[in-house]
Amino acid sequence: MEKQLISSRQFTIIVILFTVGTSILIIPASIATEVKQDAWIVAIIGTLLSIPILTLFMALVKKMPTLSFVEITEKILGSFLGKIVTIGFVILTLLSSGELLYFIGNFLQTEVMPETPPVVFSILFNLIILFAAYSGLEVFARTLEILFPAFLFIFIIFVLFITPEIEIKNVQPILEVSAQPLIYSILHFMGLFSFPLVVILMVFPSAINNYTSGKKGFYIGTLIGGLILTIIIALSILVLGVTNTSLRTFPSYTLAQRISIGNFLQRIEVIMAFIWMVTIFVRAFMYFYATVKGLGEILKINDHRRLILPLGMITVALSQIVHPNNMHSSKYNQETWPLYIGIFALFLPLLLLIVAKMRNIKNPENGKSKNEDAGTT
Amino acid sequence: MAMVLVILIITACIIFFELPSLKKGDTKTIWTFSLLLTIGVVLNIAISLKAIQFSPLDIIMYIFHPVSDFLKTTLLKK
Repeated sequence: MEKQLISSRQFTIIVILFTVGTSILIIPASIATEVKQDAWIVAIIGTLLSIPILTLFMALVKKMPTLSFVEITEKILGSFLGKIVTIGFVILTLLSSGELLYFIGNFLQTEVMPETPPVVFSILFNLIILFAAYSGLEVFARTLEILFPAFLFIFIIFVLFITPEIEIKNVQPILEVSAQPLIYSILHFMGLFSFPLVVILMVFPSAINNYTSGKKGFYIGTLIGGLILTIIIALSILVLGVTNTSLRTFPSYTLAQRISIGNFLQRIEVIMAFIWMVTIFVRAFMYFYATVKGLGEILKINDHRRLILPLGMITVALSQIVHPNNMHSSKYNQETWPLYIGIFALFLPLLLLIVAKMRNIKNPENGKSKNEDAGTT
Repeated sequence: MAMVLVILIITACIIFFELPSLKKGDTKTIWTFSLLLTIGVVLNIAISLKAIQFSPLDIIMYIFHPVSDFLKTTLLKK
């Protein structure tokens, strides 16, 4: 498949929708359980703390802008160790693809069609993802350019219609929570918001046609995504209150159900479900595309599109076994996932930077040369 | 049993769909494709017959549970 190139505006849209992702649905509940009414503070701090992480990523890919994350890892850590680490990364993205399919099936079954087995939704959704992966990143980016204005429009309407129901006393007292649960919650938030951005390194900057504006787009996209999440979390607490937010699995859906203008604009929450399906689709596609591309680069397969259909079967299988119930899902996302992705999003880039410094690896045209003290005798 | 047949039919469709492109490919691609497809089919059949109930994420949770328990006790219990 020929090289995919996307513009920085398309990339910014991808980043915005990716970071909003599944968080728009599940984050308000678990964060509100941990820090009660200060959940919006967690979102703001988490968004601001994503900036240093992005700077770390930029420093890593600066010297090798034509390689993806998997190729950079194999180049810096060498063939053997690099393959082990990248296989770990591909396993992470594969498991997350399955988990996201579980999530979409679970959400649609819980809220929209309770009598359908969730695997049906997973298969249908997966067919779209497989077709998108087959068509390539450019087609996907162009599709998002069409979907994003619709997303923005519905989101703004949503916010406008829900603001009449705000009760400020729901968010008081402010800053009641102590530092320790706040730190735990920020870790949890960043695990779902900022750390997964490492998956975008599979296409950044190797598929971006203008590196500097792509860099700017990365930062801007993350900030806008964080802003959207902060607004949703704040609205959940302001309108529903702490107890209702923490008790429900999908508080934003409850928010959408609350919208009732006059006697005619009711039951429009399914239109809201559309925007969540867009963001979940972006996230699921990026994870799946990273898996396919990563596996192709590990095994040095020229056309990674052959692997799409078998991997699609595996993700559907994974989506049925990955979480037996909601409690297991929230326990995993709260406790284990930030650590698991943190290893690949924080520890691995730092390690790669240090090792690259030590081995004096420059851009691909210069090749690599070890330090002089090892060679001189 | 019906699900197993459906899965096998879908597998046959996948192979039928990919066969021309695979004939042009190299051996590594064919091996990877077949291996992944076999894993997918076996997993799906086992799940539809309710033979597998455990989640691979349980392994991940087990690996990380010392650290996650430590974080939970120190940070959430105040």
